[in-house]
Amino acid sequence: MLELQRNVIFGQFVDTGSVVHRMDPRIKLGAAFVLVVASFLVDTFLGFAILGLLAAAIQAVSRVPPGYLLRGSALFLGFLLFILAFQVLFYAGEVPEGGYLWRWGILSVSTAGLESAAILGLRVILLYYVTTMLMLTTSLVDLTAGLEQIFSPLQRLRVPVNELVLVFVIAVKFVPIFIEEIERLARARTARGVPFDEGGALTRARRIGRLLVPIFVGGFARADVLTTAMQVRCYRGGRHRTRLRQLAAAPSDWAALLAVVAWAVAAWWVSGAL
Amino acid sequence: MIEAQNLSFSYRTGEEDAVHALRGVGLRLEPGEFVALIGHNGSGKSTLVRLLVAVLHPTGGELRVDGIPVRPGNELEVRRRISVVFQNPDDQLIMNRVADDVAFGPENLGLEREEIAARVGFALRALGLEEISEHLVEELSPGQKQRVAIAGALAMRPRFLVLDEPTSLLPAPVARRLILTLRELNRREGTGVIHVTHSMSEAALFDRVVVLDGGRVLMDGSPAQVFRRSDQLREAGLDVPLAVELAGRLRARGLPLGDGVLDAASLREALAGLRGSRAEACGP
Repeated sequence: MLELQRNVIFGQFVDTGSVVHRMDPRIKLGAAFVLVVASFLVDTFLGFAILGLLAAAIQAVSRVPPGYLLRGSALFLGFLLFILAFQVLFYAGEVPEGGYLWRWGILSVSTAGLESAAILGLRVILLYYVTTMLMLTTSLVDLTAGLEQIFSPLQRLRVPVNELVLVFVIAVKFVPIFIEEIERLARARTARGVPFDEGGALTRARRIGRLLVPIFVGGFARADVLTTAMQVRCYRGGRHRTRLRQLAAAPSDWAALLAVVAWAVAAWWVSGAL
Repeated sequence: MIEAQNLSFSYRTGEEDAVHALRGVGLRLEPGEFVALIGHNGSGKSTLVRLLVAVLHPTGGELRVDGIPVRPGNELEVRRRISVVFQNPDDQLIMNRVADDVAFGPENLGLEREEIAARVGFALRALGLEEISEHLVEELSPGQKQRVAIAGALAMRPRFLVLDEPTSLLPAPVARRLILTLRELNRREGTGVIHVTHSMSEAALFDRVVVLDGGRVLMDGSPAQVFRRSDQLREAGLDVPLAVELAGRLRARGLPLGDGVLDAASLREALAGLRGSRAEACGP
């Protein structure tokens, strides 16, 4: 049976009411940005270990069950391992004398290749973790309000910030709906005798591929209804909108942002970049 | 007030395969009316709903909402006066917290924050959602989601609330409770309600029933007046509630049953009244 809902948590929101959830979304977006930058600058295991500690601390404070996060990331992690295997096998960098563990034609496994793939893997995992946690702990309304306010200066350059943010928000909202649709279709086909969990990888991929057309047709139909629903509720783009919820960053929010910045700088410094 | 005069609408106008969804509908709905709009699939009721909220525009005749003609350019003014709730709440709830979704409409109107908060509070109270105002929409039952969708429409403070088959995905008792909530709202706030359905037993709960068939108004009157023409209803693909059917047959056999029979309870009452009067006539 094809089970995606439990294995893909991207775009979902888990409300535990923790301190992280209640933080000002602008501060959270800022902290996420700092961590994204840090994940690109840091390139040693020690640096990632320090950032990992911070991630563990955020995880604990947010009260999002780690098991839920891990199970929901299984598909992503599997895919990442697959990509990283190629990264190791086709490593093109300098390999010092005696650095090869195994070699066959252009394929090789070297300590340098393993190290570079591991760093890359950690970087991608951190990026994934930061964006996923941001969405798991921030409701759509907060996320929209935060993004709109952060990017509002661009409005003067005639960038349609409100519309772009809404497009993003609806895209995120549709991820779980699409996943549900895929599962429903897969179940319907399973009931008619198409086995999704039998056969080789290629056969399985081909069977899932055949679901694409009905999924897109269904997706467009839903998007059409959603557009109508928004129009009849007088949506005319973001310019005319006012807001029920007002954002207010508490001093503790700023302190948390400062702590994240300090931590990221520390990780960078340990990496030997400073 | 909603006025339709010789209202027509065709999909793909002017082409060979044009579909005439509405063919000259005449209808007048006063403020505060509690109306069921009923019809078989393809009778034109969904088209009429889409015209009422200016998603479609008439291809013939005229449709006016409080005197404002439904035509391109007037969409916003029409939609301020008529709010619509569609069949599937999953397709129309936009934000992921109950209160935030209810606020979506008033926010679009550009109202002051205090006014938005007041309207959201009012709509949540009217639908009995105060307790779950901070809950996530995904975690609610289908009945609750539909209530959130209605609260979102109500927060616009419209003259008319149009509900396009909102009960078709709900179990019957939940649907009935929802209609009773609408009735209460209609009495207390004077909000007009147009409830689209194909269930005759639901239509019996309204003051006025408009039956559409083939893009025309087939009948328009009180539930009792409409149900009396059960043969015509059956031709239009609509079933009369069993109690009404039974009362009609008993009447045909000579039992003096009144017009008030709309459901099982009122039939029981009418039959009990009959026994009482007969007992009196026979005397001790």
